Amino acid sequence: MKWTKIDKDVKIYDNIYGFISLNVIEANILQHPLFQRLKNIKQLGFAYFVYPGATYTRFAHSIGVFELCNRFLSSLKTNSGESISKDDEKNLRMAALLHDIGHYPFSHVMEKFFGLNHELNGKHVIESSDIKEYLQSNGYNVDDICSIITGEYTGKKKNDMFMRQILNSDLDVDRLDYLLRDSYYAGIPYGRIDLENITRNISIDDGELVIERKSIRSVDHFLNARMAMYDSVYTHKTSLAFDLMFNQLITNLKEENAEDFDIKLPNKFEDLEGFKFLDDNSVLARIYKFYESASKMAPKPPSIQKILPLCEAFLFRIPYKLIFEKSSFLAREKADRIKDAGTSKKRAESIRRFSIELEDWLAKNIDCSFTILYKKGKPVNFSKGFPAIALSSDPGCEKWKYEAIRVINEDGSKSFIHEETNSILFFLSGYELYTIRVFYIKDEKNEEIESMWKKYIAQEAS
Amino acid sequence: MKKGHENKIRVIVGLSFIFLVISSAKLDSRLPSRVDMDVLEGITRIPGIHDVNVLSSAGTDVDPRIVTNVALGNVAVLYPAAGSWILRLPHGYAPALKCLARIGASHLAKVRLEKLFNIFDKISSPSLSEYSDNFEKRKLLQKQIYLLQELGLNLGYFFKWFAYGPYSEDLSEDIHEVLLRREMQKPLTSSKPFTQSEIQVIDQILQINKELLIEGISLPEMYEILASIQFIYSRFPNRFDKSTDVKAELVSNLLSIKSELNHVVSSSKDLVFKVLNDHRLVKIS
Repeated sequence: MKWTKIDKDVKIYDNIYGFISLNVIEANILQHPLFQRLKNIKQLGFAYFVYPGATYTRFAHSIGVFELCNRFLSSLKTNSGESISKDDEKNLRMAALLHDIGHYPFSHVMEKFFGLNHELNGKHVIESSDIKEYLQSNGYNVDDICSIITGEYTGKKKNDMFMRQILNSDLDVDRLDYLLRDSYYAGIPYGRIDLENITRNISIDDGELVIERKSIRSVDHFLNARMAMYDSVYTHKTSLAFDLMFNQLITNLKEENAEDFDIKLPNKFEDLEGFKFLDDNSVLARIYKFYESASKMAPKPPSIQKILPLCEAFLFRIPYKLIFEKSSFLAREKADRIKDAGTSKKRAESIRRFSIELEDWLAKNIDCSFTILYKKGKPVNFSKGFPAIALSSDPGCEKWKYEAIRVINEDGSKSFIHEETNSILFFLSGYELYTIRVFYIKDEKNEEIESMWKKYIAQEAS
Repeated sequence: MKKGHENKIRVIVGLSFIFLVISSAKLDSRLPSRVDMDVLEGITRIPGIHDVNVLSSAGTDVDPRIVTNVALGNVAVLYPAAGSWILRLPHGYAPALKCLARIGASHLAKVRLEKLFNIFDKISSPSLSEYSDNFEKRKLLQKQIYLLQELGLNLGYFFKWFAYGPYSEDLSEDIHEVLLRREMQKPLTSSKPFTQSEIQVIDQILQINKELLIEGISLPEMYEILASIQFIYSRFPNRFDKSTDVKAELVSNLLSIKSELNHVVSSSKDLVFKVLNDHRLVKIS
């Protein structure tokens, strides 16, 4: 793979943070064709079908995350007085820069198509390319970099949980950057968080990332901002409909063995040549090409007849309609601070039951190629959720100790933010937003789904 | 060496070896099934391996240490273990496991929920309320499924490292759904029953359940230690100097990040290493 290296440090002007400085090695990573690839991958998938300005790319975001990682590192050193080794520091900076290198076209949209999360793919891209050798020869620890990206990092000689928390926790530099950037480009103001307050008051205690008590309000605001951005941008009904339609379209094209759609992930170094051009543009080009030839075909084979309406709906902006939606905040843990936690948890359980009934019913009664069921982040198979407040407070979940936000007081004592009675999160953190949505090609309410829902509500009441 | 009619494995030579367990690759004389083909294809995609040919021999009567010595001195060692095949690869090929996991993942995505549903027929399954209310039960299931995967029953879950060792969020959601379906009596009928080697892997877990019984330490805790040590060693082989006491280094690494295990590790570590070794989960000398 052609990789033209440069021999000096660089400064890049970023619209969010101003000048960002990279040393020569980091600058050369930027020069790598697999990194340049990120210039053609939109950060927000099809959000630009709803918010016309939301077209920025993973390239800008990656550099932004790198900059915030630097700001975190310098505050951590100043505020905690703890030393971070030069090696750890440079590995972390590199992990921040490379954290999205495995992203697929239109970012998260194609993750399901490939069946492999982008973090793991990123690790593979680094390890299979000449990036690995370049980093090793410059004294980087590639195992550390990759495991920080994937979340497999375990810590070495002492508790150094902060190494992964900076990039992977409830208060990480990834989220801080994308909220600000998404707000700027989509024009939705919710994500305008108080960045200075957070980056200046972050610290390390006992190897763990902590935030000083005086920043509680900024953290409250940040977490609420994330929820609001989820609602209005990331899972906006129309943008989500296009994400799901697109996924269904390319999956159908692959299943029908359409030319150009047997897209495989790179597995060998030579394959990466192809991967460097696997971006938004090349995937769209494949769809245009398919449409041109398919629409001229006469007579059209059944497989083409099946795919063409979906292809047209996508290309000519005819989003699937949301024909059913239920959404409510419900308790995910039984804690004293949660009002009626028991009843609320029961309700959450019954929504899960309803979604299973609904799934089976849809499979039997509706032509699935024109229906998309969406439940909490994962279409059709209903499983994964995204937390409304995005706060890992649930002590029942193994993640929480690593991901929840710790507050440090002046006397050195620590607590989790959801335990702080002067935080808004104290009241909100035990809840999760449960959402079920059904999209359909036509705007047609379905009586049976409504009556199934009513039946569930009635059962719950009794 | 008994030589069959099909294929051979070629790997670039390395100085030392790591172990890779392949369970669904049933390299017997029958034609490989689809899953087998996927796994084999996965092996070809490991950097450094140029082609894979199935080294065919009839199931159990394979010489336990078949050395495929192909042109150019490239070497891979393949031998059968209980229910799986073990492929020795040059040292530093930890990514190989991930490659296999990935190939398996895309193929198995559709069937993994069904398989998970059926696994609960075989290992003791808690009721939904027991599961929801009992953290230890949840932890135990996470580690058991993690080890099932490491032993070769690949469901395609990706495990990150958290406070109690390897943990998968997707798995957590799926277990919830499966238990709910069991309670609602809405079973997931399996489109792909377990293969013989997968059944053997499940039996291996049942066996490990028995072997890990030790006075004073609960089974979930033993599983936490077992899975954690296996995770650290398999993901970070380069962290340990092979010329020193690797076991001691591993224990010290574990305790430095999980000091709360301090009081149980000293009495359980020998048993844990024995189980890891006997079941070929990691090979530490």
